[in-house]
Amino acid sequence: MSGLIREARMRQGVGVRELARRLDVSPATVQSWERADARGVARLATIDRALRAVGEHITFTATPIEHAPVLERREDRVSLELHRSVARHLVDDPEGTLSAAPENIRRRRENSQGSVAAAMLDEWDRLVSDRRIGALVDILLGTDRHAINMRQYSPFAGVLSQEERVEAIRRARRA
Amino acid sequence: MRRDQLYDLIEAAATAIQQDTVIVIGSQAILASLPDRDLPRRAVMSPEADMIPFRDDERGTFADILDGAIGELSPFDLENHVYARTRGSLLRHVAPR
Repeated sequence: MSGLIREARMRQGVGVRELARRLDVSPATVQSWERADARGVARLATIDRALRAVGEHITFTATPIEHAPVLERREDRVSLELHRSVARHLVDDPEGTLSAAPENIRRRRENSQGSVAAAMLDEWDRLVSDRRIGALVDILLGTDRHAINMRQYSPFAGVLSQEERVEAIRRARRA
Repeated sequence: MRRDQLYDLIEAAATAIQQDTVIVIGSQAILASLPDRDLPRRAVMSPEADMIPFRDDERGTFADILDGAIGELSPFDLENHVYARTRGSLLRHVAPR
């Protein structure tokens, strides 16, 4: 299990008790923050507060859209843009967006045989069950081969309206 | 994907783009070519079939229509849990003379 808080704490050589003392909270609270952080569900303000207590802080960098990685294949771009829209729903309404995923995963299993499909669907199942929002967003927006393959077994059918889908498909066209 | 699901997908594709021919490429194409006992495992492991509209323009208008109607995360996908992945215009896949 890892996460920004634990990684920073280890990097700075600060124990759980010491961090708890600096933050004026209990060690159990620090551990619960670290668990939430590792699952991708901790609040940014909490992470930043903990990081500042070990001498670090969160920084954000923006990447101009023209420098974003471009996927070569049309089908990969369409999938990415559809899942970019899903990611917005997921961040705005995690529970509502994830509500249909378990049933979609079950139905995907019925219609996709083999060990590769099973492994992909097992991973979706774990991420959804554990509510790992950050890790889910990484896969929804990833341009690496693993993320592209995972999206082929996406459990998010039904999340987007048809208007949102059409708009995403339009975005996928090359400029 | 099973053979009957591929046939449903092809029928839905033809209806969506109002054409009587769509091209199926990739591993799912073999579903329509071989009897069940000879099918490789790869042919039934995927939830998606790669398709190309037989007639399209350079903008890929019909490819977009196919993606909209029976593509990933579409109502068809929600209901059947299989979908078409449109590989653009046939123009892109024909070797230059």
